[in-house]
Amino acid sequence: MTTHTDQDSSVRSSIHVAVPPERAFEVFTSGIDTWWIREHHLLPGELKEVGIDPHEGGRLWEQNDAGEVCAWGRVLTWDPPRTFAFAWLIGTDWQPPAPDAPSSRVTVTFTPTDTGTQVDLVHDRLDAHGPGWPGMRASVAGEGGWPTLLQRYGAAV
Amino acid sequence: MLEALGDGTRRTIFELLAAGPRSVAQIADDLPVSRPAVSQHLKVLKEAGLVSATAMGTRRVYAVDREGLAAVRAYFDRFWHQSLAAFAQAAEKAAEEKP
Repeated sequence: MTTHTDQDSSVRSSIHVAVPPERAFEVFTSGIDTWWIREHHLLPGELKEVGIDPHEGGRLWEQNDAGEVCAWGRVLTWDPPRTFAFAWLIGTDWQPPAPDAPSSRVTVTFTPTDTGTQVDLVHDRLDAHGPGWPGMRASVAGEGGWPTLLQRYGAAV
Repeated sequence: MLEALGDGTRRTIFELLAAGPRSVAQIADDLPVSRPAVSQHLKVLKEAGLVSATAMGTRRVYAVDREGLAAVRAYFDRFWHQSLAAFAQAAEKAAEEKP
């Protein structure tokens, strides 16, 4: 896995998985609830489910244990099993966003290889969110989440 | 940028600064690290664009740089690194269960 950051308003991250593109696309999209990191949610309470409406213009949404639903993204490209792109609506306040909130863009491409699928993710137009990132503290805290997951990943492959 | 936050002590310093601006001495008081070592870590964080320094009298006070994009990029760098690792685990687990 590699993660590379340009000196601009984008972030790139890639990973190779030992499954065909069809499976990789399916797990990334309709299976998002199986891998989404549970600490990342906007609504109060516990995160119950994360989902994606499987068509252009569809929502990326989360539901909490109280049954409340919040859309935090909008599907821009739905082209299985090659390309999935969505508008990321969550701003620097890390609050449930308005439908017309300024958005950055996440593009995920699935490229077949001899042994599986190369998954390349580009999150660009980050400057749309403006300066400041008060919510970043939790993310950099490194309280087990990030290093632990990497260890688990290393053990799994 | 990942390298800048890859060190445990630097990450702790960055977390302290995310809670509010501090001087080198204040950071050193809170951590089992010498002032010169704190200064060295701050230099790396500053070069990565993650923190900035302001002179207040004779002291320099460091704070998370919220003006630049660096902090936003650092956030998503870690976010996607972590998320893709979890995704890969789920994808390969699904493949084992449903070959």
